[in-house]
Amino acid sequence: MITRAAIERDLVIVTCAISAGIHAALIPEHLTEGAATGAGFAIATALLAAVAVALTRVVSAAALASAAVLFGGLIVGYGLAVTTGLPLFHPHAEAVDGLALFTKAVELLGLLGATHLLWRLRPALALNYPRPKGTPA
Amino acid sequence: MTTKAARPIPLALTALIAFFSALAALAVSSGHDAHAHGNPAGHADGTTLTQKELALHNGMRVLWEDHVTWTRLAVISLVAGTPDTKATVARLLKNQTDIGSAIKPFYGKAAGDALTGELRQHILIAADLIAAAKAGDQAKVAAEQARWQRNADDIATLLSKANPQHWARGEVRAMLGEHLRLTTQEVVARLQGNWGADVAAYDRIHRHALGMADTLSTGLVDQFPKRFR
Repeated sequence: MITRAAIERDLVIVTCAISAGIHAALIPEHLTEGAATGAGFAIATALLAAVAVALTRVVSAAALASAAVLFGGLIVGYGLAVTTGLPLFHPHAEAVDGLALFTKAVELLGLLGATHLLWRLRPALALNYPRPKGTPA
Repeated sequence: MTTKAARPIPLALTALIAFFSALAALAVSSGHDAHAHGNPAGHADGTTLTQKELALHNGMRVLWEDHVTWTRLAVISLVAGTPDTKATVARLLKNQTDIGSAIKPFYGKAAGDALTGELRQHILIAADLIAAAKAGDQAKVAAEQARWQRNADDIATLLSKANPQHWARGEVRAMLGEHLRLTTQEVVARLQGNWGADVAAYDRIHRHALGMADTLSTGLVDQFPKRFR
């Protein structure tokens, strides 16, 4: 039976994957703006990919917390990038962009899914995976 | 709600989602560029400019036309010693502030102020050079010319650090060197009262300045493509 927790877990994984793919595709374009900006996109890609991989293996509180912090950071970072500018990575404000808004919407979904799982279903998560034969319940 | 859950999405499917998201992002990003280049007014390579690109392109041309126009008027005033000299030089110096301000949205206040500072030096050294030439002080002329070139080198370094991919130091240095060479021709012709050569020199300076403006605006567009969609 597919539970709501399983759907939310998969939602977080999918949103991590989508955001990672989009950030990866935009690395070259942002490298032309500056090494730090490009590096910021590369770091975001690596972290999102790592969290996605972690969540496909074990849905731990640490992985969910990482996803929530990462999504939150990316959303806040973009907010700064289009208003005041983001120190070091994007010092000057940029125009709002449709692709970026879509990405932030996806990340917001992931953030909501991760926080919901963390705060309401965490006790159940440990039971979500099939245990190897012979392992005590 | 039960505590049991299905297996998570397989890693391979996750990777596939990331891959197709990247492809879609690239398609959207390229689509922006293609759409952005769908307006009339063109790039040298046959593609067209967006409204934002056109605004930057025209704005930069106005700034550099102002630069060479007010430089010419200042040269005329300085050589003739007319009473409008102070006001004309003040307007010319304001143009250096305007050029520095034009890059601030891209590189920040410190970089814009640094460019203004170097361009003000470019003007003030030129004024000292004209004064030395008028006085017939050849040693001072040579010293001021060397100072002028060093200042141009500093401007080239500043710009190439800001945009190393599109404003290579050697190319910017050569471009500024040509600007100094043509301005020198204009000053010498005026000092010698060779009016035909003076006018011809200004025509060359004008065309060259438009080229410099285009180099700068094209470099900005290429470095910050998202801002011009």
